[in-house]
Amino acid sequence: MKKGIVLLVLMGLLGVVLGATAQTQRPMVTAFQEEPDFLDPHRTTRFHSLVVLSYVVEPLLDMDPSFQPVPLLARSFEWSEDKLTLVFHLKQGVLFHTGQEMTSRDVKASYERYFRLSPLENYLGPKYNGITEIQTPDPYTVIFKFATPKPLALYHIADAHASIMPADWLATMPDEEVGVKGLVGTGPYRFDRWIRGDRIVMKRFAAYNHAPDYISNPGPAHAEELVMRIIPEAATRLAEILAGNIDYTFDVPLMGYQQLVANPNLQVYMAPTYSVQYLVCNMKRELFNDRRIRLAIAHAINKEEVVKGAWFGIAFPLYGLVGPGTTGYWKGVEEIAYAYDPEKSVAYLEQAGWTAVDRDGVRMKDGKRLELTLISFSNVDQWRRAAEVVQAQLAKVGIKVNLALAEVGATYDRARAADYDLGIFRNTWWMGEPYLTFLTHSVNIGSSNFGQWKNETIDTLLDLSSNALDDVLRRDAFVVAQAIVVESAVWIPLAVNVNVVAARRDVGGLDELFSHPWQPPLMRALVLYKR
Amino acid sequence: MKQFFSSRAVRRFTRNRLALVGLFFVAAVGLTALLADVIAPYNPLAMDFDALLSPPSATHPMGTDVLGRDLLSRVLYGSRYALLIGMGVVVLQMVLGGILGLVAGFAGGVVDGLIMRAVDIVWSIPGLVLALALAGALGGGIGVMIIAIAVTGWGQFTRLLRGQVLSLRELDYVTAAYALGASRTRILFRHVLPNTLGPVVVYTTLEMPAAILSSAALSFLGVGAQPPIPEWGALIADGRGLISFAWWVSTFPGLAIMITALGFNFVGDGLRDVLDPRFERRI
Repeated sequence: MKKGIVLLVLMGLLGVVLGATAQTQRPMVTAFQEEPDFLDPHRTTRFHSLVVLSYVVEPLLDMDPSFQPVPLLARSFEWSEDKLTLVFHLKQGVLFHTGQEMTSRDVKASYERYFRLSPLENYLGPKYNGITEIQTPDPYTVIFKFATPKPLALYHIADAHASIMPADWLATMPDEEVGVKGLVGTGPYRFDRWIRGDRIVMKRFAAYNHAPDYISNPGPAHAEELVMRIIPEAATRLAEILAGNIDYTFDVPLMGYQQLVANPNLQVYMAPTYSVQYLVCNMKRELFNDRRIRLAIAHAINKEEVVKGAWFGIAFPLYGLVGPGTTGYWKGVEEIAYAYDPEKSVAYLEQAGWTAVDRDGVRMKDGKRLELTLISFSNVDQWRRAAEVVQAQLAKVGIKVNLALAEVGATYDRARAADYDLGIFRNTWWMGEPYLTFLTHSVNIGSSNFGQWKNETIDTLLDLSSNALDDVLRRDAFVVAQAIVVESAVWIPLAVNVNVVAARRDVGGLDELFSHPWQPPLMRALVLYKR
Repeated sequence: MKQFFSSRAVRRFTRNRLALVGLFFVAAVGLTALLADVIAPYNPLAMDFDALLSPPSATHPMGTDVLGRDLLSRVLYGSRYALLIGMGVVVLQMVLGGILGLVAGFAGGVVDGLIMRAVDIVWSIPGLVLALALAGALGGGIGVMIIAIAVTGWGQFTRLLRGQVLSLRELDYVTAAYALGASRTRILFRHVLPNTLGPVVVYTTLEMPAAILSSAALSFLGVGAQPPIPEWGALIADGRGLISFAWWVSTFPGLAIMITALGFNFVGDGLRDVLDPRFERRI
C-alpha cells in the first residue's frame, strides 16, 4: 500500500516537472501584419523591420518612459563643454551572439557603416557636419568628434537604426546580405531562421543581462523561443488570435476589436501611438499654388468621420503633423487646425473661380473640371477606407477624386516621382524634430516630403529645432514649424493610431509593458512571459 | 441564325426548364442594371457613419458595409458593372479572336500555323495569372480589367471560328459560290461568317459568366475596379475580413455573382441544346 502511495506521489511529481518543462519550452508566438524587407538596421526604412530587428541588435542608448536617453550598451557618457566631443564608456562583458565581447572597435565599424548606408541618417553623420571622427582609445571607450554641435545627438544614438554589430562579422558579410542571411547583435534574442512569407524564429540569448534600469528584467528573456508569424490577411490573423494560436500581437485587426474584447480567453490593451496618417497636396501641381484650393480641401475633411470609417473609431483625430505621442508635440495645433466646415470650403472654391458645377456636381473653371487623383495603399484596409471617406467628403464640395490605390512599393514609387495630386500616407517616429524634417524639409523633396514643397521658413525653423544649442530657441522653433506646417494646408493631418495589443490570458508582463508610452520591442522581448 | 428564331427552336428552348430559369435570372439582372437608379433605395456611395456594418433589417435589407453604405443599393448598381464587364470582354474576344479564327480557317497554310501557335502560347499561360499581371502592370480600373481578361481568352473564339470555317469551306454551296466567280472576301463574309454565328452565340453566353467571375476575382485581388465603384468582386473583397461577424458584406454580392453566372450558363446550355441535334432527345 505504502509503495503504491509513494509511486503515485513520484508520478505526480514527475508530471509536474514535465509539465513545467513543457511550459517553459513552449515558444512565445507573435504575429505581424507585414513581412520585413530585410533586417539590416543600417539599411531598412520599414517600421516592421525595425521592430523585428530590435529583438536582436541594440544601440548604445535607449529611451526611457519619460523620453530621456539612458545607457544600454554604453555604461555612461559625457559631453565636452563645447559640445563637440561626446565620450561613451561601454559596458564590459556584453557579448554578441557569436560569443565575442562587444568593444569600441565594433561601435566604430557599425557607425561607419550606418553613415555610409542608412537612408534615414540625416543628422549625425559627417555629411551633416555631425560626427566627423570616431576615436577608440581603449576597448571600452568611444569618442565621437563633432564638426558642429548636435543637441539632439543622444536621441539619434538611441535609435535602433544605429545599432551595433560585430566588426569582424560585418567585414565578412556583403552589405546586402546583412539582415537577409543572418543578423548578429547583443540583443535578448538571437536570429535563428526566416521562412519567407511564413515566420521568423528567434532563440533566447542566455548571456543577455544588460537591460536598462527601467525594465524590471535585466535579462535573459523569459521565453526560450520566439516565433514571429507573418500573417498579412486580417481575417486570418483575427481567426488565429481568437483560436489562441497567437500569444500576443500588436497588429490587431481593428474590425475585430469588439470580438477580441468580448473573448474571455484574451486580454486587450490600448494606448496611443506616434504613428500618424495625413493627406497631402502635391505642390508641384499648379492648382495647389492657389492656397484657397488647399484651404477648401482642409475645411472639407471631417476627421471624426475618417476615424470612424477607416479605423472603426479606434484612433484619434490628428490636428498637427506631429502626433501627441511624439517628442516636441505642441498642443496648440488643436486650436489652429482647420475645422470641418464645408460652407467655408465651398466659399474658398468659389473665390478661386471654381463657380460652375456640371451635372455630376463637379466644380468647373474655364471648362475644366476640378478632378484630382489620390494615391494610397491598397493592401491596408484602413488606408483604403480613409481614401474612400476623403473621396466622399471632397465630392460633397464639388471636388471629384479618382482613387489610384496600389500596393506599398508601387505607391511609393509614384509618390517619389510626384505623379499624383493628393496622397494619404502614414509615418511613424517617436522623435519629433527629425520626423518633421523627414516629412517637410526641402532636402527631402523627392524622397519623403510628399508635399513636394520648399518653404524656406520651415527649413530654417527645422534646422534651428535640430541644431540650436539654446534649448528654448530649439523648442520654440519646433513649435513655430509645427504651426506653419498646419497653416500651409499642404499637409492635412487625419488620424493618430492607437496601439492595440491582444494577448492570451496566460501572457504576463503587459502592465509593465504599457507603462512605457510606446512599448518598445526591447521591453516586449524582456518583460512578456507565459504563465 | 434563322434556326434560333424558328418556332421549333423556341419551343425546344421553352421546354427546357433550366434554360427558362436561366433566362429569368439574366432578365432580372439586365432589368436591375437598367433600372438601378429607380429601384435602389439609397445612393450607393452615400456613407452613414452612424450605421457602420448594420446587419440586414427593414431599413437596409442587405445590411450596410464598413462605411455605412446600403449594400442592397450597391449590389443593384453592381449589376451594371457586371454586365458591362461581361459584355465588354466577350465583344473584345469575339472581335479579336473571331477575325483571327476566320483568317486562320480560310487562309490555311503558314497564316493558319502562325495564328494557332499564338493561340497555343496564350493558352499555355494560366488565364487569371496573365490577367492579374496585365491589370497590375496597366494600373487597374474597369477598362484595364476588360482588356486584361479579353487578352487571355480570345483564343477560344479563334479555335471555334477556325473549326467552323474549316468545315464550312468544304461544303457544296461554298464551292458553288467559287464557281460563280465570287471573291474570297465575299464568300467569307457573305456565305461563311453568317453560318458560324450559331455556335458563337452559344459560346458567348457561356463566356459571359466566365468573364464576370474573372473580373470579380481581379477586383477581389485588388487590381480591378477602384473604390468606390460597387463592382461585385470588390464588394466581396471589402467583406473578406469581416466574414466572422458581418457575413452579409460578402455574402450578398457573392449570391449576385452566383445567380448571374448560373443564369448565363443555363441559357447557354439551353441554346446549345437547341442548336445541337445530339442533345435533341434529352429535351
